[in-house]
Order: sequence, then structure tokens, then C-alpha cells
Amino acid sequence: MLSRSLILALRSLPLLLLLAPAQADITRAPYLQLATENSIHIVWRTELAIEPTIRFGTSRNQLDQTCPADQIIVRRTQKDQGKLTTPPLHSAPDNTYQFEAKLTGLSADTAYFYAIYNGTTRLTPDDGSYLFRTHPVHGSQRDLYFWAVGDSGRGNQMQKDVHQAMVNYNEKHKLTLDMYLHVGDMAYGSGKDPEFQANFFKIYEPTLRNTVCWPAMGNHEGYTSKGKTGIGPYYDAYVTPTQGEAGGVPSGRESYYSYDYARTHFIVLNSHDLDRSPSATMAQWLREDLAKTSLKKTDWLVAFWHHPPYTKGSHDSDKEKQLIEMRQHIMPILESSGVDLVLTGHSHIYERSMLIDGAYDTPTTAENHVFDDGDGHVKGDGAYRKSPGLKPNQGTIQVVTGHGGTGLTRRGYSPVMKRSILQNGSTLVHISGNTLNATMLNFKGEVVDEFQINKSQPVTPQRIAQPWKPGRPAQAQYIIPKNARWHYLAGSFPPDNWTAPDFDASSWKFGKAGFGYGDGDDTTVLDMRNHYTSIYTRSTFELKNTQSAKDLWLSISYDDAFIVYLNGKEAIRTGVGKGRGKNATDIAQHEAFNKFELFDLSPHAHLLHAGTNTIAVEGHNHSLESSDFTLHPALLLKTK
Amino acid sequence: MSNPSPSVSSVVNNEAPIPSKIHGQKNMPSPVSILLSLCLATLAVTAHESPEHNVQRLTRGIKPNRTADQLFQRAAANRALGQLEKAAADLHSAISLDATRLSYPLELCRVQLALCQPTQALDTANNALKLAQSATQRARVHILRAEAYQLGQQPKPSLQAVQIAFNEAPRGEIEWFLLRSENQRQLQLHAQRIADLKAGLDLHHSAVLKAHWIDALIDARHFPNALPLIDAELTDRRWKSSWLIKRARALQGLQRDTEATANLRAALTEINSRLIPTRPDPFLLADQGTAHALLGNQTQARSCLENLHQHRAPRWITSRLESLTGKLQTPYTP
Repeated sequence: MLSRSLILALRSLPLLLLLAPAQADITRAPYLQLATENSIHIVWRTELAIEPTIRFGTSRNQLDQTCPADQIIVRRTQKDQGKLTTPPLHSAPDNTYQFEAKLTGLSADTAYFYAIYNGTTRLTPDDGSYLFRTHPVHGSQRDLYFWAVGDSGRGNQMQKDVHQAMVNYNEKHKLTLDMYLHVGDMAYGSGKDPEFQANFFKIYEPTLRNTVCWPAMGNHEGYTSKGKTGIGPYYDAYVTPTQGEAGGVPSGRESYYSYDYARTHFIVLNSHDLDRSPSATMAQWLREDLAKTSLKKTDWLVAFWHHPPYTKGSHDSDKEKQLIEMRQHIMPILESSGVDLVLTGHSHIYERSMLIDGAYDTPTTAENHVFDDGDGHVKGDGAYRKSPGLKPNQGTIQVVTGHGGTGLTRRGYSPVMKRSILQNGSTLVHISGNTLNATMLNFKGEVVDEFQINKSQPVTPQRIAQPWKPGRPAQAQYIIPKNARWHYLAGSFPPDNWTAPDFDASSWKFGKAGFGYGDGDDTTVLDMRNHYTSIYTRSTFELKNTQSAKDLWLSISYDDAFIVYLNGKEAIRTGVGKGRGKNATDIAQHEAFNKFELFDLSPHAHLLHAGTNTIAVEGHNHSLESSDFTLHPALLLKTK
Repeated sequence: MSNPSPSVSSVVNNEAPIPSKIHGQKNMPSPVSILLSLCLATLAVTAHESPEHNVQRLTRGIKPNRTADQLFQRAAANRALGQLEKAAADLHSAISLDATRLSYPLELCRVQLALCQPTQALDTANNALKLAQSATQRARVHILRAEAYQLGQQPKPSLQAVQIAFNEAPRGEIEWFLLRSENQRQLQLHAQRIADLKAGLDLHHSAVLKAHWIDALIDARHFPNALPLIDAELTDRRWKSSWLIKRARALQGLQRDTEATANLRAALTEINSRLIPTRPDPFLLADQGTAHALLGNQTQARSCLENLHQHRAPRWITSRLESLTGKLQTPYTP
């Protein structure tokens, strides 16, 4: 977007251009950009000329400050710009006016309400949702809570659901975002201006008006925007720091930059269309930025960009140049300065690594590159441990959060990944003192993955020669075999506590899996058709130790849908839209085809314990009249 | 250590508009380049597939109906997979089918530079020049010519080509300033190098340009000017070695050898704690060699240089150390 130093040039703008009596509609709602301790940018568009004015204040009822007119830049397309001397927009609808206001002289870590006016006519509603909070003083102790999304810009219902899930989660837990990170591909298919409007600004409008979005450019934006020149709809949309305005050293480019928030330093890179070699300008800047990161004021280092160094989702980080180069050339620089968390997208999946360091080989190997192969869950294997402050090469967590709204794919399992989940969603990160907690929230608002990095005590990392291996079992033994006997309830609904370990199912029937219509793929034949649509099954199994819980897989043949509970807690839900038991709705259709599908239970290892565990499975049919039903679960322990 | 990067080649798949000067500030797209950009976007946007899938899909399409655009797209996908020879072959074919598209030879030139084929890259760029219509397009081609000359170790024509690019598009890009600086360094054009880097710094405010500008001051023996700038950079700094070495070079030039030696020893201590022998950062390794050379540790300096060569460090990173290791018998003069 526009360089701030153009403001001086804009003072000579012909004022008549901005003064028009006609009713002007806001065509791109106000959104926040480039926040610092004492300033912020507000950007919006109208269809007709207006006399742009921003009023703001610390009380919703007293907007007693005004952004000076010479701090509001006006931009138009080349076709429409007339005598305007500001750089034109790359592309925009006819008659578009884009306003970029810089509010200065603000107090740090302070909330301000604002309103957009056309002269004296208020254009934004007085509903209390138009507000911003300045950054806290760099180095101050303050919690930080942010939302990270990637590959979302389809404009579809899934993208909206992922967004709404975050909004609902925050309302439920009384949380307020401090910032929003987008790791790229926010405007499919080619990052054109109308695609930005429909697939980004329109969808996220309620969030963007009160939360700064810090962007990294994706390859789809790269079709129309260029990192070298800073020209294109992507660069029209965003105001990013080029001169170290928000912390870090000046990059001189909008395509890569850094900024500070309290005691966290953020680094944003362009992995798409700039030279990624270790001697290129971006890498030189990165070294300089990291070298100048103040240890007195910084405890956490978070980096984000588009192309993941490690993935086996819709892309393969062992085969594609951009991904390989980010791993081989950029990760060593970041890890040698103690980066804690790397967020990327591009690959349409959620993947999350173990605590790793130095895994730069191609193909990626995990041996001796993993410090902690646990799940990082405070209630599971425990948090990942690092020494306080920024210590080189103490381990990084990689999160591929390319599941923000588009279709998902898995090509395999990266050996450094602890989680590989094919569900749309987003990532929420909360940094408080010496802990960083991250949550993967799916599109239904369910927490699907959690981990913590804890920096409370000095540690000496030890490399694991043979770390835990993700992926489907090459060899396994049955814990609950096929055709095992299960307690089951058919034709009625169980009480709410039927999944609990202490529930007494002795009055239920006892039969061999699978359960169904008896059309060749079922052992226990049910009279379901035209009578009922669900059955409930329970069994128990023994685990020698908690470690083996991480190697459990569900093998199941099903038609149409099911929910699995482990020791009373829901673990896996497939094909059941909402609710459970008699309240289950939105049942999808699925054919079993006499095949068993594998589901990784390791994300739910924290629900299990050594000794006797309970598994409960409820199976659902799409409809009473459905032509088939099958539920045949089994449990596998991966041995290799 | 901080040095110019001659690696200017764009890695983009389609051609970008080039900046033009608007009150010395924001870049402005030309109508032609916008049109080209949007046109290519339409061609390039396909289902969100990996490059492998794109290659397969395009290959299926190319078999019955071979078009220049399909070949261009497949070249881009092959380049993303690191298959540079295949990309070059497709681009040659694309050009033979449609010799009017500027983006094809530009992309071919970039691939040839990546393949370390300076002669071929120069030929391609010279041919592309005929297709460049706007000043920004001509500037882009001249920068590729400059890169080809630089790769062929011809700093003089490289400098001339960069200068033509700046004449066409005065604002330039950060990399253009660095490429020009490297040519000027090799040609010992110190005063102009300092002035041009300072102009770039004033225009782009890049920390990288600043580091190179200060290096240029030291190379030109402007030690009193460089020293306060270096001291300012060393304030509240986490990693200090590269700037301590700059400081030591300036101090040696001012005959303050004791202070210089202390700075070099401190730099080496930091570098030794950070350098990973199995996968050394080329900048740290070059800094280590430079520090050893300035301390008169010839064997260690040459070992660092050999290590840099083994790791295929670019010549502009090794050149200072090469120069120093050749002059170790006499006191260092920049």
C-alpha cells in the first residue's frame, strides 16, 4: 500500500476533489492496518467522492479527536485519478476512492472507538464494534492472543464457518483478538481486486474493523501482485511496515517485514516470488533483523509466510522448490536465532510438528532432529520445554494452517509432524509470560489440537535418535480385533452417560461386529430398516502404558456415520453434523464397500491411560429408508 | 559480514510491472504491464494443485494441442519443482511458437541464470530487448543483462547495463542498487559506489542497503565517517560479530590496532558459538575467515575460504576473504 511519506505531497491535493454533496456508499468497510504503540492505519473505500473524516476517542460516546486531513491519503485507479498525484490503485471498480488514514499521537495499549464521516455525516454505524487497540510498549509484559488463518479466500460457506467458529469461541471464552495473521491465499483464484473484496474483506468484515490483519502473500495473490515491485491488489489492500515503523529493522519492502507486540517479535516473509537463497536480500535482511532483536525486550519469536517447510498435505515439501528453499535456506537462520513458532499455509491441511531443530534435509528426516516427540499437550505428554528468552536451536513448532476454507488433501505424513488433520479450521495462539498455548479450532468450533511451549526453566535439549513416527501403520497388532464382541443397544436410545467408563451396559445385548443389515458385510444383523437409524456399542481394552496410546488407530467399516468416545470423551466424529444420540442431525451418506478406513487416535491419547479403557461408538444411518447400514469398529496398535 | 547480492533474478512465474518514479516514492504500474499481468493471471490460475499435478495436467493438454501458453505454464511448474532443464526446453518451445511474448524470454533468461549459463542468458535477454515496449520493461531486461554479465565475471558491461536500467526506471529496486554496488566494488569505483548506495538507502530505507553502504565507506577508507555509524548499529544488538568486524576494519585503517584486535576476538567468540560446522551459514563463515585474516591467522582464514567454496558460496561473499588471504604477508588495506 502507500508509503506514509507521501503525506507531504498530498497536502497539495485539490480539496475540491474530496468535497462532493452526493450520497457516498462505503464499498469496502473500514479495516485496521499497521498498528504501533502510538499509531494505527484505517483504510476504507467509497464509490463516490467524500470529505473523508475520522473521529475517534477512548469513549464510544465521546469521539473527541479527529484525524487531520493531511494524514488521509486518497487513491484511485489510473483511469480515474485525474489530477490526483498519489500512486494509483492497481485495479478497482469504477469510481472507487480508497482512503488510507494514519492516526498518530495515540497512547500505547489503549482502546479507541472510531467513526468514518463524510464531512459531518456519519457513515459507520454507532454500534460499538468500530474500535482499535494500540500495541503495548515493546518489551512490556502483556498477554497476546492472535488468530492465524491460511488458504481461506474462497468466499464459500466453509470459510464463513471457520470465521464464525473463531468468533463464537472467543465470545464463549470472553477472549478478544489482539491481531489476525493471514499466511496467504486470501483471495482465490488470482488475487484480483474483486476477489479480495468478495473473499476476504466481505467475509471477515466484522473482525477486520477492530483487529489488525498482518498478511503474508500467497501464490494466488502472486498471480496479480508482485513482491519485487509492491504493485498489485494485494499491495493495494494492505499497509505493512517498510521502515521498521512497528519494530524490527527496515526492509524497504512491503512484501517482507517485522513488527513487535509486547515481548513477541513477528517476522513475515515472502516465500513466493522473491529470491529465497541464503545470500539474497530477504535473507540478508532477516539476519540483520534477528541480530537486532533485543533480548531485553523479547521473549518470543514467531515467523509466518505462505509455503511450508514441512508438509505432506496438498503439497509436498520434499519436491517443491519454494518449500525446499524455505526449509534449507531460511529455517537455519531462524532456528539459529531461537524461533519458537512458524506458521504457514499453501498446503490444504492442518499439520503440526513435534519440537524440532535442524531438519533441513531433503527428503525430510526426523532422526536426531526432534527434541520432544510428545504431543505438547499439558494434559497429555506435557508442554514442550525451552529455556527462557530467545536461545538458539532449542526447538521450533511448525504449524501448517492451510485449512481456512478450501478443500483438503493429504498426500502422506511428514516425519516431523505430530498432527496431520483433514478438517477445516484455524489456529489460535495465546502467549502469556513464559508460555505459548496454541489451539486448532475446527469449523464447528471444536478444539481438535492443543499444544504448549513452556519457557519457565532452563533446559538442555536432547536429540532423539528414533523419534515417534507419524503415519499409517506399516505393522500393527489388534487391540480389539475385527468381529470382536461388543455390547450394543439397538432400537432405543441410551442414557446420557452411556459412554462413561463406569456405565453399566450389562443389560445390553452382546454381539459380534459388524452390525448392520446383514447384506454380506455384517455379522450381527439388525432390524434397523424403517425402524430406527442409530445403534450404540461399547467395549473395553487394555493399555500397558500411556506411551502406547499414541500408536492407537481405529480401523472401521461404516455406513453412514459414527462418533467414537474414549473414556467418555468424544474423540472422532465422521458424518454426524451436529448433536449426538437421538439429537444427532445432518447425517452424511457414506458407503462402506466392505472396506476398513484408518483413523489416527494419537491426537486423543490424552484421553487414555494405562490399564482398562472404554471405547464407545454410536453408528448412524442417513435415513430410516436407507438401503444399507454397517458399523464395524476395530482397534489397532501400531508397532511400526 | 555484509556484501552485495548480485542475485537479482525474479523467481516469479509471470512478468511483473516495473516501478516508475512518482515523487520519488510509490511504484506505479503501467497500463501495459497491468494488462499483461491480468492476462497471465487468467492463464495461470488453475485448480489449486501442486506443481507435479500441474505438470501432469498440462502434459495431457499439450499432447493433443500444443500451445505456447501451456508450455509456459508447464515451464513455471517445472521450475517450481527445480527441473530447470525441462523448464528451459519448454520455454524454448514456447518462444518458437510465439515469439511476440516478452514474458517467455524473460522467464527463459531467469532459468538460464539459475542454470549458470551466462552466455545463453545474455543472448536471450538481448533478444527480449526487442520485445520490451515500455521503459519499465526495458529496465527489467537490462537488469537481466547485467546479471548475465555479472555471472560471466564482466563487471564493466554489467555496470553499464544496470545504469541503463536505472535510466529507464530511476527508482529501481533494492537488488539493482546492490548489483550496481558489486560491479563498482570490483571496478574500484568507490566514490560513486558510496553515493549510489546512499541514494538507494534514502529511497528505499533498507537495512541491507545501509549495511552495504557502510561497507562501501570502509572499502573507500572513509574510516572516520564509518565508525560512528557502526557504533550506533552496535547499540542493544543481539548478534554483534558482523558489525564488530566492520568496526575492526575501520579501526585498523585508523591504526587503532589494539581495539581492532579486541573487536575481532569478540567477533570470533560469538561466531564460534553460533556456527554449525556441518551446515555453516555462509555469512558467518565468511565473517569468521575475515576475522582470522585480519588477525593474521592465515591458516584458519584459508580454511574458512575453502569451506565457503565447498558450500558453493557466491563469489561476492568470498571475494573479500580471497583478497585478504592473498595479502596476509602485508598489513591489510581495503
